[in-house]
Amino acid sequence: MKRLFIATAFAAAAVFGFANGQDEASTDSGVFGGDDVTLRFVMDGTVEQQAWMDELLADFNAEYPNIGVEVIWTPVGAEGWGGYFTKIKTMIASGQSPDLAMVASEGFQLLHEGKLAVPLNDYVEAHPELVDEYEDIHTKLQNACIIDGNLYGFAWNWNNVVTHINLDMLEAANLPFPSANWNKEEFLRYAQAMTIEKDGKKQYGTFIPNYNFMITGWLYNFGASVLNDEMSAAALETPEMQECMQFMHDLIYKYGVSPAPIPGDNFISMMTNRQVAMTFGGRWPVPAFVNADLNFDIQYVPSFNTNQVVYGTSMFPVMTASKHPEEAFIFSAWLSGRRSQEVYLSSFSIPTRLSVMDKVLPANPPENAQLFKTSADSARVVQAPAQFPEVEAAFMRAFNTIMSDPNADISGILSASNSDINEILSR
Amino acid sequence: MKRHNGRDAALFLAPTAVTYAVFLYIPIVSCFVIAMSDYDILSPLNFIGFSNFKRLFTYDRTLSTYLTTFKLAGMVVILHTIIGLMMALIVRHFHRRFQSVLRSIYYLPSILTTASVAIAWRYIFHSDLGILNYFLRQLGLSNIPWLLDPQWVYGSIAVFSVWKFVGGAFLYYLIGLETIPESLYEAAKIDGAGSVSTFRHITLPMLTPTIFFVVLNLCIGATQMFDEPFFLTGGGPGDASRTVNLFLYEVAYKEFNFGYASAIAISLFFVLAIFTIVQVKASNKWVTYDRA
Repeated sequence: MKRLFIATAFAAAAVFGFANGQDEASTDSGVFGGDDVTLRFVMDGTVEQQAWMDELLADFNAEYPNIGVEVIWTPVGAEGWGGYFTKIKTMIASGQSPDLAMVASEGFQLLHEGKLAVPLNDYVEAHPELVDEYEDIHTKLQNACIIDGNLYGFAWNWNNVVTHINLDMLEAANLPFPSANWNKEEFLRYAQAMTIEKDGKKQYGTFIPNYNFMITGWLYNFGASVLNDEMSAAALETPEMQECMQFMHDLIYKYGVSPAPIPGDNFISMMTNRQVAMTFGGRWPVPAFVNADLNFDIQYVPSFNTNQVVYGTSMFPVMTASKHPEEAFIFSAWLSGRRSQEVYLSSFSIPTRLSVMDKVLPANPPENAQLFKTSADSARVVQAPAQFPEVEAAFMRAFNTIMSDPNADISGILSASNSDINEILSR
Repeated sequence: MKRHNGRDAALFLAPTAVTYAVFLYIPIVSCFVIAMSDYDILSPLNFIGFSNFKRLFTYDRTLSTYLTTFKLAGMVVILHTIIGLMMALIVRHFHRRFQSVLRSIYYLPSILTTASVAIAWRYIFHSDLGILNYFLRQLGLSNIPWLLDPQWVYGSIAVFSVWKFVGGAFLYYLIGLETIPESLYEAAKIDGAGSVSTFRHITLPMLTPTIFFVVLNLCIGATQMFDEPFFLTGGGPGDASRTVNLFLYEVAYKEFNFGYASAIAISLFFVLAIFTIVQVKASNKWVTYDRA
């Protein structure tokens, strides 16, 4: 019933107002009241990105002079999204709740089940004119922001996992650029050909992914996942999971084409230092590669058993503890618009709007950047239950144990971790 | 008059008493209360009795992190104590001007940010891409899994810990050595004592209060070790270098299980208290306070 309501609301909104967008809204900046308020907004970002946000906030304040925004920059850092959500939860618990925050897919269930965010359905229904061209947002990515019929925000940026390939090393190994449907055997051949040792220094053909999101990119292509489809139980004991872990392990210890990962290893600097020829990530490493004058391009993760791209998106949900939910909704909707994506996401991360993707991707490296857009159609969202930080920690503990030991009992470690994760999910 | 004195004293003591109450006593009492609850900081306290304390003795990971902590602490305390003393003895033999230069050099790592230098050390220790193994390979040796092997990881953390923090022990020893009366060394020289004999019968006994102070502080600090495994290994591989403090932090801020985290904190408090009492009692047998 709720789903029907949402669908109806959006259909109506699309017809009556979305297309008119922000210009109309800007004439009525006091739509929810008009008192001066200052919103507390939690955002992840670098120094360069902070300058982009300043530019956007200046634009926003020109349209809505009565809504100030205090940005609380909260880097995701080495502890990943789990650590980032922990910081937000701590702010809420200390009575310093932000009014809204940038939250990635890894935290959507946490928001929903913990009732930490406000469903925006009523706001959208009442003020569809505040939402800038809803239909321009990629449908699949936007669907991740709706849980049990509750709309928590508008998909703003997203990332997938693709293979980043150093083209100079590829050329030195006399290899053609791999095809979109390259497989496990081809990948291994490429990794072996680009692994060379010179003057005691080894250049590795690849670096196996060592963060949950990137590992998930591999797992999906093996037909495996950490949890079952319902995210109600661990799925580490499947043959596909075993095969994936064994292959990664073999790349390090049997074939010697990947360094053994240590928690916190930075695959971006390994790539820019020319220590590895192929790594795995989304669009976020691209600025670093460009700054390092790296001659690179991207291709799908090899189809180990299947071809299933992983994705994670982000949105700006309004916190339940916000004292200014209406104003927070205005800012959330405004920030999800086209202008924001063009300013903030032209070279970093992938915009979710089809029009912005079409504009910025061909204008920026790498050459095959359009892959960032086309992969969205068949992508599958990263698994993230409400207990994501604990599940991620438990899985990564098992992963690191396997990858650090040449003689690891892979099935035994996976089995133990399977029990740990089931215990976490049962709490 | 007496009443006035009492009131004045209370007024003067009030700021300190309030500070202690707010930042020490209330948190300690709160910790005990939370330890008997199921508490995730977002929901109200739910009292569950001693369940969290029972779990201390039944949950494998808690026990293994204690074992790891004791192993690491033992290694670190021994290394800091010996190397710090050796450094102080060496520096003391130099001319005063050169001493100040060496003091600065030895103490410099202590004032650097742990996070930044730990990143550099992670690169040094990296098994496949690190400079340490590069040199080993140049010598025809094999890579050492510094941060990958559950056994090697203790040594790697200890090496980093010594490089980063030994300056503290070194300074205490240097100060301790300065307080030993020169007349004792002169008398020993007149009696024909050699350097080994002088060290054994004068320096070492006279330095025992400093050694005791250093060892006690190191034991307390090393048992609460957090920075080194957090930045170097993240507690890995697996749980191999996960100390109690690191585990406590993860239980609190990843699982949001503040009840169990508080129970771990209380257990650590009692372990440290027992350690300290045993050491203070044992010190009566080997620490020389008489300098007459």
